[in-house]
Amino acid sequence: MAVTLDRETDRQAPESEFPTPYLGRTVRIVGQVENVDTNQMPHPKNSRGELGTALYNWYNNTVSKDPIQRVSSHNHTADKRNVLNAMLSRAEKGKTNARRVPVDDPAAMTRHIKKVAQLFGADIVGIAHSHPAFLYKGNRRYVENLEVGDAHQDETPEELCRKFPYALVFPVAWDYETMQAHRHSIGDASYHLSTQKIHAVIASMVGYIQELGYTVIRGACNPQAVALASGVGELGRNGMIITKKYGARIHLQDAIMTDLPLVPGEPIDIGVEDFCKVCRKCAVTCPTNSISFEGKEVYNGVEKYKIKWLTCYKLRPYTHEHWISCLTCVAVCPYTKPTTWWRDLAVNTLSHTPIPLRPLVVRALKAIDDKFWGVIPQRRVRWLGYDSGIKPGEKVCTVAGCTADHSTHGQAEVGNIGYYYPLKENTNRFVKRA
Amino acid sequence: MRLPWLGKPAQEEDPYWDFFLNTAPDDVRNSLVTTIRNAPEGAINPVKEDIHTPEVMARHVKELGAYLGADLVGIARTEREDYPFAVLIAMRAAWDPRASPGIGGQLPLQKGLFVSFVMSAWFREMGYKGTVKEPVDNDALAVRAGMGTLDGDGRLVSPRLGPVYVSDAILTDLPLEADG
Repeated sequence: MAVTLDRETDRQAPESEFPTPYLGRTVRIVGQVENVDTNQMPHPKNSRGELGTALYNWYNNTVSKDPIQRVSSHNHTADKRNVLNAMLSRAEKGKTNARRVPVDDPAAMTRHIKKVAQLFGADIVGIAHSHPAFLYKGNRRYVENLEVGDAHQDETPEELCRKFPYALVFPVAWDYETMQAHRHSIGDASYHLSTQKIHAVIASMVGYIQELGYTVIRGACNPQAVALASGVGELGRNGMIITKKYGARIHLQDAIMTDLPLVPGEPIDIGVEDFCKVCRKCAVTCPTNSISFEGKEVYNGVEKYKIKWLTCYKLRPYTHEHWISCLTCVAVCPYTKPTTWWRDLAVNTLSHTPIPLRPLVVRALKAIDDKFWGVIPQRRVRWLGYDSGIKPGEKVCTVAGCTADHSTHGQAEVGNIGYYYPLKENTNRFVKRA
Repeated sequence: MRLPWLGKPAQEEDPYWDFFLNTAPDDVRNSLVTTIRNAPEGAINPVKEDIHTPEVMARHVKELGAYLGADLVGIARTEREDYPFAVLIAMRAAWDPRASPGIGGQLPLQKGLFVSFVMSAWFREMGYKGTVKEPVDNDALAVRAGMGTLDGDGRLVSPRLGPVYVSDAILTDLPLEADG
């Protein structure tokens, strides 16, 4: 389906059944929007071999050397039975309870659903009005590594949005401390273990809403659009949803649609629009130059920062001996900080400053960030016997109190500096091959 | 004790809380407890990882358990030669999952099963046995591991956390240092 969406149209036709969705200050719909085609997304293209042999083999035929990766990354393990989300995808799906729990007060149900999702492990809950523009092209469903289908795939996007007027996301944050060792197997663990958590959260919420007697459609719409419309966060220069509490270190995974009566949220303004104009830390440190230094561009009728996903994606086969996920753009983002009072103070100060004065506040906050956190975090992280102070490719035991006779050798970095490989020097190679 | 100016706990004003806690699922496939329990266990990696001393590995097991969300992790020695150690995963439980059949009532169990699934898979991927399919007395092993004592209702009470629910015991031959 194609829709023309802009604020002007919205003002001219306020009675429209599906008015232009307002997605906050960071993303603006300015023209004709074609629904996202799941077949053109990175993983599906790669699974068909359209991105080259190296990427195809990386995704389908590599087994990680690291046991934590082999239990948390379904496409880098020899035995998928050891990976929870692979098991969840194979499990039989439950049915919707025929005895529906009546909902007299959608606000009370909204509070309940948010509480339940947080008990299951969600760190944020986003509820938005469904919109035909959020749906995938051809009414397809997309959930990575999961064959999903439902009885509503012959319906038009408008029919689907009428039947299931609410779209939800249940973001789960990555652990902050282990994420500091980005471009390292410790950072991979932060990323992939939280992926396992969010799969469990989504499966739990799908099951619970069905038990309440309401239908759930999984994987029908773009989770970033839902996150923006529901107020989970704003879209950053790095192409990530940046949240108030966790910055960019969240998983969205897939959105669900439901007919459970709820009260949707509204887009938020935490100053990402103002910060990303000035900051550019993610663009400076991206090892593949996939993040633009320039302003926003209009792509598919949507004005936003557009990343070069192909160059980002192409890095992976070259590093999989050491780590899987880069995470640099998330780790360096000034919004990605531990959840402390001074972080909240900074974000609240920015979001309560009148917009014309925000560039001044942003420059001050950016200077503080550069001074105390550096341009790129390289803090040494030790976790479960892993140590980011050890040169990639080498093994050495730096665990306090360990007297085991390890048959490996190597050298630990001296001091509190982590070793993150590879650094900026690879940039040109990936740009030329893109 | 709850301070009066903080108001009532959210669940006291939640009209759907009782359903969440006490209504057993109409279709058990909607419960993650069923899904995880029915999941088959993967193979043991034929190549053993280079591991640390039992004291260090016991520390790492507890660290990973906490990282994945466990409130308490204990290690007990068993009587079995094939699985000399049991790793006990316990979760805080404001309500007793044995008396609360709803999806929410089973939440401490579900969260514990998540931890034990990932941790037992980690043992197997390191080349050691790790199973949750063997029937054992979780509470007795937890007491042996010094995680707490059983109250009159047979619930485990931790001196630090109060009532906890031992969701699973992972039996393993990974060399560990037992607690208790």
